[in-house]
Amino acid sequence: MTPAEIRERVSAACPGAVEEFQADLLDPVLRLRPDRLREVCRFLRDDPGLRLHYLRLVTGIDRPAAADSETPGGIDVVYHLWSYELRHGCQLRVRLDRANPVVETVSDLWPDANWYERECFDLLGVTFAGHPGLTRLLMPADWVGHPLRKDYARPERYHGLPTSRATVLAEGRAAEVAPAMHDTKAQPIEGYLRLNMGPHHPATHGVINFLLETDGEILKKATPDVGYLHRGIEKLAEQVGYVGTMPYTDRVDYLGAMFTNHGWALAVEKLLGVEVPRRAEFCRVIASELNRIASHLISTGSLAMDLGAFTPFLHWIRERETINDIMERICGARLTYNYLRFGGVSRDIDPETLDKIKHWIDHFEPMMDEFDRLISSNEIFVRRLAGVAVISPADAIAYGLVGPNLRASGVAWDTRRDEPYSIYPEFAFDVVTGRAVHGTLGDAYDRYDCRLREIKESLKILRQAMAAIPEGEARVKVPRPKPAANEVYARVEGPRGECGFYVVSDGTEKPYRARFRTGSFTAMTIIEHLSPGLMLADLVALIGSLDVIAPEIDR
Amino acid sequence: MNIIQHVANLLIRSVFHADPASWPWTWLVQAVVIGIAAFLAFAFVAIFAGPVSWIERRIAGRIQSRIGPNRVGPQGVLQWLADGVKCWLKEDLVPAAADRPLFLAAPYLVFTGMFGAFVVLPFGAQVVAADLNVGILYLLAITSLVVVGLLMAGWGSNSKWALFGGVRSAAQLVSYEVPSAFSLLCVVLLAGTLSTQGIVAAQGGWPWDWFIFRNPFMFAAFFLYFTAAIAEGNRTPFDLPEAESEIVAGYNIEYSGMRFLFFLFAEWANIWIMAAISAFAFLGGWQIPGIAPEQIAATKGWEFVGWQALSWTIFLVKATFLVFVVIQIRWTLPRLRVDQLMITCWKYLVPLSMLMVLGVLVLLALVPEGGGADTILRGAMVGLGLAVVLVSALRVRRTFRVDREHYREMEGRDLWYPPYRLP
Amino acid sequence: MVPAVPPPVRPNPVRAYFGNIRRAVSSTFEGMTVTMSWLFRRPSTIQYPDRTEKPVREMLPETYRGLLEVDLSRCTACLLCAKTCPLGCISIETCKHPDGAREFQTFDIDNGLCMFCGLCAEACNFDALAHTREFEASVSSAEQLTVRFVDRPGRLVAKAKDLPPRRPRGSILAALIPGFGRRRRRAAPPEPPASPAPAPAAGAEGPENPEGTA
Repeated sequence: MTPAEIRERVSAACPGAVEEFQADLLDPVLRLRPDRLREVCRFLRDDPGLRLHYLRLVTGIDRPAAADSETPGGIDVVYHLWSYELRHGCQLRVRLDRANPVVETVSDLWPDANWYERECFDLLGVTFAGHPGLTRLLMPADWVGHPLRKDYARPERYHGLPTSRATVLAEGRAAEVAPAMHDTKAQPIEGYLRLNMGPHHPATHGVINFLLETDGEILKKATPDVGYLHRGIEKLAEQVGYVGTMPYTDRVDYLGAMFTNHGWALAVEKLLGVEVPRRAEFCRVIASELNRIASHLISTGSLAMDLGAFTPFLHWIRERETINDIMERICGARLTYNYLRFGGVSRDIDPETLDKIKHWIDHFEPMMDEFDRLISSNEIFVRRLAGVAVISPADAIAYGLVGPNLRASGVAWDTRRDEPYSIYPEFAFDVVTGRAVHGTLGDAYDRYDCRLREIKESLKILRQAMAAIPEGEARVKVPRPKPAANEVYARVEGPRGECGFYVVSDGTEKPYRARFRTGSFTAMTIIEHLSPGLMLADLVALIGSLDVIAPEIDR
Repeated sequence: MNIIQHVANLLIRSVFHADPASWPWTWLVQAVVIGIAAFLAFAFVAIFAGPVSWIERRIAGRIQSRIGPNRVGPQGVLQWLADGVKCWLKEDLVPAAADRPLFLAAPYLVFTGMFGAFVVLPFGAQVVAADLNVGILYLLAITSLVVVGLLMAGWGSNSKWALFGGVRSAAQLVSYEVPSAFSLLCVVLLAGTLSTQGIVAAQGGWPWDWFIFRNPFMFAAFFLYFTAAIAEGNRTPFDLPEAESEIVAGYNIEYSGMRFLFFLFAEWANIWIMAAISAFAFLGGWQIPGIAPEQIAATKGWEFVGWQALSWTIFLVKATFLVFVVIQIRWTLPRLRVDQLMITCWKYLVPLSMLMVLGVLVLLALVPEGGGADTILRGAMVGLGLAVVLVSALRVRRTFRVDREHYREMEGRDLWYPPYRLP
Repeated sequence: MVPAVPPPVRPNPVRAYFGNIRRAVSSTFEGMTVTMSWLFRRPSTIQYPDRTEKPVREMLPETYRGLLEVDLSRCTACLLCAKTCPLGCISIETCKHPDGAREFQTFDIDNGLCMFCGLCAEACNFDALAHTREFEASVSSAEQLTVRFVDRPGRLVAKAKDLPPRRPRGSILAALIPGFGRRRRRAAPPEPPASPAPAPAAGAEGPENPEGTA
């Protein structure tokens, strides 16, 4: 169903709710009356003809009144909705009063809205009425101001700590005050042991804190506390412009930098209407699939390490090392690739490198069998994962899980196949889904298993791509991007699932608002829901099997 | 008569010119000699636990496709000394809120529990610090002291993670005492004695005289004991008390410097102890093939010393092989969950080890030792043992032959990545 | 799309019990054969930094994005790099001589800020600013992170028409910062003359002043 048709249905069901239909945008938007939002949302989710069960993204956009225009300013809150069953989606927008932005919460309709709304409250100061526990998510609890507002002025100091590099350098060293950065409001539960897992804990995969309430080994509740790696990349994107943001996207997901690169390039290319040469597309696919393998190697290996088996992890690190070497040849860096450019890639892949990739695949495929014998089929490993932290398909969609986590629950959705981009439709590969190999569909073992099988699919794509790579230019010259005012949402299938970029342009060299949708963010929201009744060691398996990484959550 | 009484009597005769049997101070001289022997055992342990740490790290390195410590001394053999000195020089931190006496005493208790076990280990034909007539009971009792130490460390640290580790280790060690005791009971039944030297003497030098190959139940009992011993030693896959990815480092999280080293020391010494117990209880201990213990005892002078040294070497080789197996298991397996740990013990190891005791009893009654059925049984079990060794060797060979063929295919091509060069 | 979850199969408890034992034993055995086989294969790691066959820098591909360096004799001070840099870690100042020639006042690259994205080197039209393969950039104070490429007064801005050939990559940096890679240079075997080795290049460059750091 097209957005226009959805609009017809909404207008018919909730007359007067739609204020405006912005059909001229690349991704058309329905502007709703704020007081009718919940009504419309409920209709969109529950109507059998729409079934928009997946809330992709909630974005706040600050639009202060321009000095020379009469239109009053406001804060937009944009909701991206999608239906996996019917393969359509729509965007909703409400315009709120800038002085007192209040809108009703949708976190009871889509559970993953809980964190999105907290983030929006944190960074833009939008109050979501009826939200259970609307506290700051990324910034410290006692931070003053909302950083993504256009008129935000950064305080010089926070608890005596200088906030700018210049001050730090001038003073010689950082101040000694150690403030209580994250004062979470979660009260200890009477009769349970409060345990702080993190921010420095070997199993949290980065600086994340989990506040555990435990009864011995059994968890009553695990509350994730994030924001330790918040660098404000969305704000940075507004400051450094389209070209300058590309290296920053590397830092969003340091294990899958190629995908954040790709998503950003796709979004801006859509805004600009740039055609990418075919050879460049092949280069992108080859680099992406290598990166996907590398990321899954880390993910599966570190899951094994979290369960106490160190050897498989190091074997996978060794294989990934070779990918890093290849990446170094392709784009010059091992981790922060910054490979893609608008209209192509920064460097062509030379034949020698292609040859090396072929060598490596020849070597790597037997290693996968060895890995299976070493760990995947190991009874202890299987028992630690099978039947643990089962996510039902409905839960997976409602909590906005994406990528392997979603597919492990049995939802066969792969952006590469189902919302094709680049040249993926030309390749034959399977979308792997959970098979309940050793337990229940959607358990931790299925998520692990999906990743391993996805590596094999990536190898298939790699072989096809290297056989079919055409001659030609790997880059077309694109002038410094200055897209006209528009809005676009571009997504790619990253190793941690849908990696989406919502870009609002305003005709300048800098995006008016850039919003990154990452897989780990929504994966974190489900942990609190799954945790009751798990054991402490299961939580470690859950975090590892969800493959969350901290920079992607905090950005 | 063991070597200590031997030496004591010798001393009394030569220095005091008295008859040991009637001299009133014999007990004093014996006590002094025992003290010296204990010190020697202690020194031996200290020197052995260190290299075990080096062996472990080198093996772990090779298993993980890396090199391991190779800088201190030739091939890094002195790495453990460097680490020991480093730990010694580090600050001995005590958390402000810790229960100071408990916190400070815990490492020593763990240490004592581990090292007390060395007293009854039969290293050679006459080389044992004290051949107690309740040797096995003593072993089980003294190693339980470790639980108290770990629990004290967990509680005294006043850290929640440490407490988790302490409680986990208490539950684990107490549970796994049961199957290990039952498995050793099988040995005691066959040997008819609790004395460690008596157990070794009841076996023989040849594999078919070892207890492990006596009958199928003993064969299984060996593996049950080995599993339980790994659990008692807090080794992967049972290393829950110090699971670094769950409870960070468990009971030793707040320790530093020398006290921390004591924990590590006890761990490595313990690997050796469990290997040694398995070796003397199931694998014939120091028995030299073809020579009966009485013949060794009857020799004199340098010949005596030579036989002692040989028996000692045989024991060390057997124990070191088992140390190697323990290390390899550690670097192969992931870790169990707490409930699975208990299930493994109470639902699998305990009933099975009871079954083995029953089976051994039945066979003792049905199959007289030295009879035809006994010979057939022993022969079959040795065959089974050989088959296990052969199958694993073939499997290992196949694993890297796949690789070798793969690389032979690619021969002549420039392998630019670190190749997995085969021997 | 959303599949029906198959009902769990309840196996015979006795078979499950012994099946568990069998699987535990066989999978442990299988895993141990794999780890055992690794004892017979060579390790794949190298002993960085001092026991490698050649310096790690030389193992890196030419495309590697290491520390930035600028060949001032080819730099026209067009400021494209400084404008492209998302972080502003390049600062260039020139002054004009009465005769029309321009002289460099500063050309500083702050390695403490730089994120090695390569956008500046791409923007450079004259191959003056480029990445080297140097990656060991530790220094003892924060100020030293700023590399000052104007090593002496009187460095004139180049004209785009007649540019001298690009000096070997890495040589400028090596001459400017003597601390970089010093230990390696001693340990490394004699280098073939064809390679863009920093040591001979630094010796050949007479006027280069190694006291470039502030």
